[in-house]
Amino acid sequence: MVKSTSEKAFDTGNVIFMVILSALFVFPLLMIICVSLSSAEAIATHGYSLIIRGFTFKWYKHIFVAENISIFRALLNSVFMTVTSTVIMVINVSLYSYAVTRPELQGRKFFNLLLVIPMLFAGGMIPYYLIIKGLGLLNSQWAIILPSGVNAWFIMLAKNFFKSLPESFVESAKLEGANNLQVLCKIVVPLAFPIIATIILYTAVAVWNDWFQASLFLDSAHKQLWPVQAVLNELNTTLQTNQGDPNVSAQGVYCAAIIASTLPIVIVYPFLQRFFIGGALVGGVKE
Amino acid sequence: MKRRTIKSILVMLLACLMLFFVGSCSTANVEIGRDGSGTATITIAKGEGISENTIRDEMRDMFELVGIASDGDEHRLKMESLVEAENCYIVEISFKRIQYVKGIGSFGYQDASDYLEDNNATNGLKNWGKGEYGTFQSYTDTIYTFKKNSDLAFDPVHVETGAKVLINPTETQREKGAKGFLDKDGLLSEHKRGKMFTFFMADIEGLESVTFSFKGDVIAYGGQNVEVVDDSTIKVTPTSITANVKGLDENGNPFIENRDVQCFVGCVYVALEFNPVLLWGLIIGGSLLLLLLVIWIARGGFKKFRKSPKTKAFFRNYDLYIMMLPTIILLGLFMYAPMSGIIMAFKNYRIQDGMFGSEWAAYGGFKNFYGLFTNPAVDFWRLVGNTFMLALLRFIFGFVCAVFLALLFSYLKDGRFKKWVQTISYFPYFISWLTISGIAYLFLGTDGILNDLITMFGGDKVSFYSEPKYWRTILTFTYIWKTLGYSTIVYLAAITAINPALYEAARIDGAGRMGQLWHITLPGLFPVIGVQIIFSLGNLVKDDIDQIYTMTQGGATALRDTTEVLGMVVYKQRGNASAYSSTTAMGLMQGLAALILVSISNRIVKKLGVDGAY
Repeated sequence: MVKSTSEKAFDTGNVIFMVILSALFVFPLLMIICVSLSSAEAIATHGYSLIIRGFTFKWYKHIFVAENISIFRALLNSVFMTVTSTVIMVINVSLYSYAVTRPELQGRKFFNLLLVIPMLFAGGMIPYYLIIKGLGLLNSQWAIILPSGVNAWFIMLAKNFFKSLPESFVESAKLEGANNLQVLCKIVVPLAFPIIATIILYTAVAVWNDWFQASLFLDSAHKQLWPVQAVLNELNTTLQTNQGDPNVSAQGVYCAAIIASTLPIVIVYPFLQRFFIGGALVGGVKE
Repeated sequence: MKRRTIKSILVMLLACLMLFFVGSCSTANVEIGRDGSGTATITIAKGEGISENTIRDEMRDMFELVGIASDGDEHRLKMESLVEAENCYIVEISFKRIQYVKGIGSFGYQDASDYLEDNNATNGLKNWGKGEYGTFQSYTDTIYTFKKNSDLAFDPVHVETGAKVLINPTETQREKGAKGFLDKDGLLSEHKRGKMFTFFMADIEGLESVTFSFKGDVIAYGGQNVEVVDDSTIKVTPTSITANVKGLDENGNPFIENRDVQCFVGCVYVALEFNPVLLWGLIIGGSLLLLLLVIWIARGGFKKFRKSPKTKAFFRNYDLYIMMLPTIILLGLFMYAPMSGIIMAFKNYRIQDGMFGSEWAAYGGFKNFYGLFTNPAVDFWRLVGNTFMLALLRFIFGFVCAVFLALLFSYLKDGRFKKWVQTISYFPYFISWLTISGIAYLFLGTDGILNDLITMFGGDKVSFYSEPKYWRTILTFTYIWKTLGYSTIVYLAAITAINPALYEAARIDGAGRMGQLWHITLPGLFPVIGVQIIFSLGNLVKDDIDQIYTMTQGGATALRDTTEVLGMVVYKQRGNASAYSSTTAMGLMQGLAALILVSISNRIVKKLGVDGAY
């Protein structure tokens, strides 16, 4: 295949555009790293740039040491909440999707409808808040973990995948004397691993990145329960309203906290990348 | 100030209305129902200037004014009947929830447990918990009263006074051995179900006595000149209390004086009896069900049921239902239960009364919705406009950029470079909005990079965080930055799925890249584009406050002209219980609009022959 000159020019232009685009995505993140490593005087006099002036680990030390921040605890909280809700999610999704795809289940339509209604309509923020309050879950991490452990969309996704698996697999396992739970654990879940990995990824990212529910249900008297994004939210307010300690660079601290909270995602991202493409293609998962 | 003036005029008018009590002997008989509503029968002795017509007119005006004072509810008081007896008139008035009646006194009617919780810390009610009744508080209140013996007649004044109220168990309760809340005989639960009724009316001339009767036994009572008539009734006669009276004198000058006023003051603690309607309903309903069950079993229904293949299948596969149980419980708690809260949108939600106990809103329950449109403080249309505008910008630009980038990706040679670019472009999707907000601040702050650039080229600094006009752009741009790479995935997959033979054929026919793009790639993308557009239709009424709140410094008021959306108002009012009804109404309208759009889009998708989402 021979390329015309204009096509060659286009291809070169395309590559240049891609490089610029990548820079546009990477530049802000690099800048955050640089600011988090620069001294307060350097930030104040030279502004933000990609050059690290007055190299210091002070801000990292600050977020781990300062008693009003305690990012270490927040990271532990986030890990706990993310892991628990992901585990609950996987259990719920696989159990429900398996049951609802079994042909011998009575009232399948009803159980499907049970999933569809919450996708279409929700009670709204205030009723939700009052219910959480009524359940006595205010200022408890379970107020975020339990609701994050169930999602009608994900069950729909898994359900469609389970349906596409050949029925003969299940049949033969049952003839061998396996019960439903064994069939699910030994045959269906391993086969459906791609979709389950996708669900794990989305649940984990959603819980990890959530500050909104934390701000609704965990008040500032219970800072020891805060996930890392809630701490970030507080630091964001300090940064943008310039209320903080004048000796501490709010920018440096915030950038360091951003790095600390994003690092786990950066670490797992390359391994999980191939799964979310599958999720995006199913189309259901949005935001 | 304006409010105060209105209130003064109101009180002056009220004062005039109380005129007919003066000089005549009257008594009031108040019956209070379960939720604080009830009737008051007032007996007014005949006298000069008192006729059926004057009473009727004055009552009507008074109700209207009491209504205005009581949160604008005109139906708070209502005259039921007016009967002329031998030497008096008997007026029957019905009232709705006495605790919210204002303008003729100050009343409280709430669950005893709530009352104790409210007052335990501040008012030395600790004795209650230790098993004794005691002094519960120095009863201070501000109340409107009427200056007597003045040519100007009834100037508005208000009284501040304190009355120590000692609470005693009634004789019958004492005989039963009742001592307090934490009794050994398990009186605690009975008591906690009780209601605490407090009342304070000052300076109603001519009113000789008031009796209050309740739906339940009076356990304890306190106050000045309060006596128990029978198990569920108390009688109060006025007492003279030295009060600090503020008001205007004949010449309109303000004055403060200490003088004696006649007050009715006290409190009653009532153990509500079990609602007889509810009780009978349960008994009748239960026995009907039992009867049906017996008939069903007698006719062999149970046998049939047991032997039907469906039942057998159900019991054979019981494990499937157990498997679904955890999800059903969680869905029920966190998805379905909040739906019941929608009822708040049709009520005047008050914390004391709870979600279901609160009164229905006016206009047949639709007052909160009406209020959204008419209350200028809400500025509903600006909120709707902002919500819609931001969603539309996200929708259009997000979609155009994604398709464009997917096309460019498809022209890249497969290989390491392509993979790297894609990996990098997907990554921002996994960053939280708080992170992006921090990045944006480094660019947009007064010392930010953009301002550095502007000053470098000789411009003046722009303070982005106080200029609403930039924020539609900023929010749209950051949204695209976050989701661009991610949203290309769908389109890229669609492009890859196009049959390569089509390109081959086009090339043989001499079509260049543009030709191939127009005649093969874009037509091949259209179905996906169409479905994506239709699917995101429902997002047009949704707001992403996760983004907006974090980026605009927590919904800064300086930026509200372009960034305040419906969800933001709801979120900010989350701690304000008196706004729950109107914010729920707001959320409900948004939810319904989204529901309609999603249903429409789903219809279209199904008509197009693609698998619908539901």
